[in-house]
Amino acid sequence: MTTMPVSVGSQKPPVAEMQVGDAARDAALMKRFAAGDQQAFAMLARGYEAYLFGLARGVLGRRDDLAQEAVQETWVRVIRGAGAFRGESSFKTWVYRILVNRCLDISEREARQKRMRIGVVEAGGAGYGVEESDARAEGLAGAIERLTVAQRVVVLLCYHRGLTHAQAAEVLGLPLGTLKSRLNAGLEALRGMMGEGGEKGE
Amino acid sequence: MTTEPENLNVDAGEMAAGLAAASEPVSPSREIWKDALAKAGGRGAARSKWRRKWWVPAASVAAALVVLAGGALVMVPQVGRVGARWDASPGMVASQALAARSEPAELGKVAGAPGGGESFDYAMMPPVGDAKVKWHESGDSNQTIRGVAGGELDAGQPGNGEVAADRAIVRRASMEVECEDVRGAYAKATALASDALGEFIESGSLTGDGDAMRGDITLRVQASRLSLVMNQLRGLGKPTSENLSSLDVTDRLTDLDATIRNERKIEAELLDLADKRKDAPLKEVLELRDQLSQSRARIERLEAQKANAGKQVAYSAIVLTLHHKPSEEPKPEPAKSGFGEKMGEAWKNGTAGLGDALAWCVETGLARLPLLVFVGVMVFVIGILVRRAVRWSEREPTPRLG
Repeated sequence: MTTMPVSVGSQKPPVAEMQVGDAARDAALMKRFAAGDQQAFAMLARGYEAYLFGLARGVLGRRDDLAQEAVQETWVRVIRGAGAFRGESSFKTWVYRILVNRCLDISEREARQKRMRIGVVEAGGAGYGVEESDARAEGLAGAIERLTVAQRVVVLLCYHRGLTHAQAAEVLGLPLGTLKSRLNAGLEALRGMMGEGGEKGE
Repeated sequence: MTTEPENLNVDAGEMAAGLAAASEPVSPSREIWKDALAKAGGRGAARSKWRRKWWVPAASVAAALVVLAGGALVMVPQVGRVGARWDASPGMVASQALAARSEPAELGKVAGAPGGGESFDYAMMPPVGDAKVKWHESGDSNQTIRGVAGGELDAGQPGNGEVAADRAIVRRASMEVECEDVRGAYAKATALASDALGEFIESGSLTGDGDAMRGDITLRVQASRLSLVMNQLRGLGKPTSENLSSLDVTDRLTDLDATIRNERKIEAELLDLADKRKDAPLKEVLELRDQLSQSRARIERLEAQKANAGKQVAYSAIVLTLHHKPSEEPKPEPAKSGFGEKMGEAWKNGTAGLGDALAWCVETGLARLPLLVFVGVMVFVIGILVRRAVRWSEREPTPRLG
C-alpha cells in the first residue's frame, strides 16, 4: 500500500467552513500539485470533496457507494490531468464538469446493468436506471429522483450551493439562456410529478 | 378530480430549499481523494505529467523521421545530380554500394581502397542518355568496371560506343599509373595506338628526371577498343586512379543535322532566286551573292562541327599519366621511447582526428543545410500540432445531456 506523505487528520472540518471557488487560489494549488506538492492537492480536495460528494449523491439517487465512486474517479482524472492544467479555465468548473461526466457514465452503466438483471429491454426514454429506480421517496425528493438524469443534473447544478447559474452553464457547456430554459423545463417536470403525487395522495 | 400542478401547495421558496438540500455538501464517510491518489499511482501529478509527456517527444521524433524520409526521397535525386561520394572499404564491391543507392547512370565519384588498399577515384559520369549503368569493381588490382545499357562492358569502360544504336556517346578516360620505368612505359603506351585503325597520339610529353620523371600522353583510340587499350595500359604498372566520363551528344548531332538541312534549303532557295532574277539590278545581285556566300560558310562550319563530333564519338580519348613508383623502403622513424613523446604522438593523432571529424561535420552540415532547415521547421510545426492535439485529447468533454 502506498504511503501518502500527507498528514490527514481524522477530524474533518465542517462543510460550511470550507472555501471553494477562489480561482487564483485553486490555480496556485494545482500548480504546486503539478510540481509534486501533494499537500496542495490535499488542501484542494478537502475544500471540494463534500460539495462534489453532495452533488454526486443527489444526481445518483442518494446512492453513497455510487457517489463515492464518481468522486474518486473525478479525483483520479484531476490527478492525471494536473500536468495539463494551465489555469486557462476555472478549476472549479473543470472539476465539476469531470464529476458530471462521471455521474452520467455511472448512471448509464447502472441502467444497463439493471436492464440486464431484469432481462427487459426498456423502450424509449433516456434509459437511465437510477432516475427510475426506487422512486419511493415522497414529495420533492421523490420527484427529483423521478426526473431524467439530464434534467436532474441541470436542476441540481443550478441549485447547488457554491455554483452560480453562469458557472453551471460553463460546467455543462451550455449557453446561459439554454441552461435557464432547461432549468425551467426541469422545474415544470418536478411540479408535474409532485402534482401527480399529490393527486394520488388525495 | 384533476389537480393542476399550480394548485399544489409547493411554493418556489420551498422548492428552492428542497433542491438545494438535494445536493447539499456532505462529507463522505472517508476521504475519497486519498484513495484516488493511491489509484492514480502514488507519485500523483509528477508521474502523470511524465506519463503525459513521454509520448509527445516520441510522437514528434516519429513524425520527424517520417518527414525526413519523405524529404530524403524528394531531395536525394537533386543531391545526386550535384555529386556524391562513397567511401568503399577494402574489397568492397562498388556495385553493391551503387546498387544499394539505386543510382544508376549519372553519378559517381567512388573513393575506395580495393585490393591492397590503394585509392581509386572514378570521376563523375555525366548522364548517358536513358541508359542504365551498373558498376562494379573487383577487389584485385586489375580493376574492372562494367556498365551501360543492359549489357556489361568490361575493363573500366562504361561503354564501347554501342550503348544504343541511336545514341552517340563521346567517351573520355584518364588513368594514372605508377611504374618502375616511366620511359619504357611511355614507349609502350604510344605503341598501343594503331595507325591502321586511324588511332593516333594526340599529345605526349616526358618531363623530369630519375624518380621525378613523369609522362603524359593523350591517346585517341577507336571507341570499340577503349576497354582493350585501358586493360593494356593497366599492365604498364600499378594504376593509382582511373577516371571515366561520357557525354551523350546525340541531341547535339541531331540539332546539327537539322540546322544543316535548313541551311541547305536556304541555299537552294537563294540559288533558285539567283537563276530567276538574272536581270535584277546589280545591287540586288551582289546582295544575293553575299547571302549565298554566308549560307555556304555556315553549312561548311556546321558540317565541320558534325564531322568533329563524329570523330569524337568514333575515337575515345585516354589521358594517361605515368610517374615513377616511390621507393617502398620504409622511412626510418625517429626513436620514441619516452612517455612524453608517446603522449605527444597520441595528442597529435587525436587533434588530427578531431580536425577531420569537424571538417566532415562542417562539410556535411553545409551540404545538407537546406534539408536540415526544412526538417527543423517541420519538426517544430509538428511539435506544435502534437502539443495542440495532446491538449485537445486531454480536455474534459462537455457532459452529454442529450
